[in-house]
Amino acid sequence: MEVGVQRRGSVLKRLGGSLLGCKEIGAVVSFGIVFLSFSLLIPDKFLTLRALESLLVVATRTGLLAIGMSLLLISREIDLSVGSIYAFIPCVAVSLIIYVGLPEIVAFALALGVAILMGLLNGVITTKVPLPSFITTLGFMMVWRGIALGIWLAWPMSYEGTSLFMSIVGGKFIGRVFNFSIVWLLLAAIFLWFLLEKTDYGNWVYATGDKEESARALGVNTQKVKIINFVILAFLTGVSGLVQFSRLGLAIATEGVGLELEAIAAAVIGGTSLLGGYGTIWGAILGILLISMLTVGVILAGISTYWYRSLIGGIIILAVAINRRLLR
Amino acid sequence: MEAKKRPLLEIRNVSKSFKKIRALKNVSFVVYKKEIIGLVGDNGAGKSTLIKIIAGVFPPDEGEICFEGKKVQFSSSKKTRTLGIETVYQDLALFENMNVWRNIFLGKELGECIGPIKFLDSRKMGKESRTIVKKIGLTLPSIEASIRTLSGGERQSLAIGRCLHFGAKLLLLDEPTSALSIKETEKVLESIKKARDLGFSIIFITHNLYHVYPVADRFIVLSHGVKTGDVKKEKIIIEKLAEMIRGHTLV
Repeated sequence: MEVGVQRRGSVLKRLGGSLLGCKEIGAVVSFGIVFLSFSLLIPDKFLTLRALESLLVVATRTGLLAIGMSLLLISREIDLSVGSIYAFIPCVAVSLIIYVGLPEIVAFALALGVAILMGLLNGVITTKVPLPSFITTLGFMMVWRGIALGIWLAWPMSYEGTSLFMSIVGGKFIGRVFNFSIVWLLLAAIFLWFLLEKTDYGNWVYATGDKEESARALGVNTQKVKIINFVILAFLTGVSGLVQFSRLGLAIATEGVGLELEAIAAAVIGGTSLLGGYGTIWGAILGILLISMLTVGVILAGISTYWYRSLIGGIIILAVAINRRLLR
Repeated sequence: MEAKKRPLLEIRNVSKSFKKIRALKNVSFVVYKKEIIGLVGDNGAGKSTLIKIIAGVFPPDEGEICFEGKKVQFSSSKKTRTLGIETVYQDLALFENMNVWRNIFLGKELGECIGPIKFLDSRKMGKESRTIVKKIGLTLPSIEASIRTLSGGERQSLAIGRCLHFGAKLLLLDEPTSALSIKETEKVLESIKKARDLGFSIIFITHNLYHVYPVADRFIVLSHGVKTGDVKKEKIIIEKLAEMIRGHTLV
């Protein structure tokens, strides 16, 4: 009988251990708390299809940045310039369409090419000079924002694309019934998850962030890994900008201020370590769903939207604290 | 003299400076097959620099390295590994958050290449990892267990097993016993001897003479970047060797 008790204890302990050993636990718990709170407080507004649609649209916007940021953080670098890139790329696209007269699809492709170049600059300067990525990307955050405001000023440029291409990019798969732009986030997340977990490249990303010198000693080109991660993040940021541009028919150089911090917050809430070597794509998705739920819930509850930032701040501390305390 | 075996590794007049500091000055020595070399010296003697040059992490400023009679062209550590020179670093080069098979195959992943991306064959790597773990006498809960759950000795044995599996001819062990308990150290020394008996050559870097003395066949002594001794074990007692490292005895 005693043996049986012991075994049950160990099974429970093991189950608990594996549950608590999962670094997304903080996000899961916080998610549960926030979801329950809104569901109980404003069930008639929160538990609706409209609320879900808003939540998914908001999640897609920052989520594309958050999963790329997670990848970059795992390799132990950070990118503060993505908020500016997010504003810059749609401005490039709309200018190419309106002033140069290029077809939408070509303009979008060229704009994404610009995003890739921006990521490349971040990565090459960070790894080759070398500089801390905090400095490189802080610099480019101001450079791109300054150039964008210099060229396009702070005026909104509207371009209501009615083409099938723009509708699809904007997530309007079935007219205006429900916005499906979340599909882009899911596709990108599946791709990144696959890259991280199922390919040799993913192995190198984790190793680079964990112990860069050891990884290099084992033949991993850690600089290349980091540069590629900067490029992937900048590319996804461009995609996010273009999805929102297609959805709203509007580009403005003042967009996305502070978006980089929200992306970092989502990644960290989802269990990604700022010290590199650990993190998951689904954790970042969970983090961004949590942030989006707060954003939407606060608006629906009729609370001033100014409050929601302080709530997110609290959640960041809560989620990471739960991770830390439970993992020790 | 002529009857001597052909050396596996030959270091000729290697020098290396970092900015204004000369880390190595004109170091030469040879390593034969099935031999354990104790590379000893105090902290800052240039042991780690020398090992990194042999491993191909960076090139020497002067001098050359021959492996199996052929001159080694410096290119990268990856290239050096394909020659058969494997390093087990001080911090083991194991990645704490990654599992056993991901660690064993890091940088040498198995899988199908489609375009620039290689899709991991986790089943094959898991299976081979289990064989490796068995061969070095380890019992692990799971091949999916992350390295952070293993003890220091288990990590060390795993790191050595990884090298043996990949057909290394020369193992470079950088302070393999520095963080281990006495019992675990003994096990690791045992696996080093086993590796030699299987036909591997080993350069064992340490400043702890009591760990290296029982297993080494020959000692190379470094002091301030200069080779100050190259003696067979049967010709020297441990106290004498300690004096050489301190640099008091050479007249």
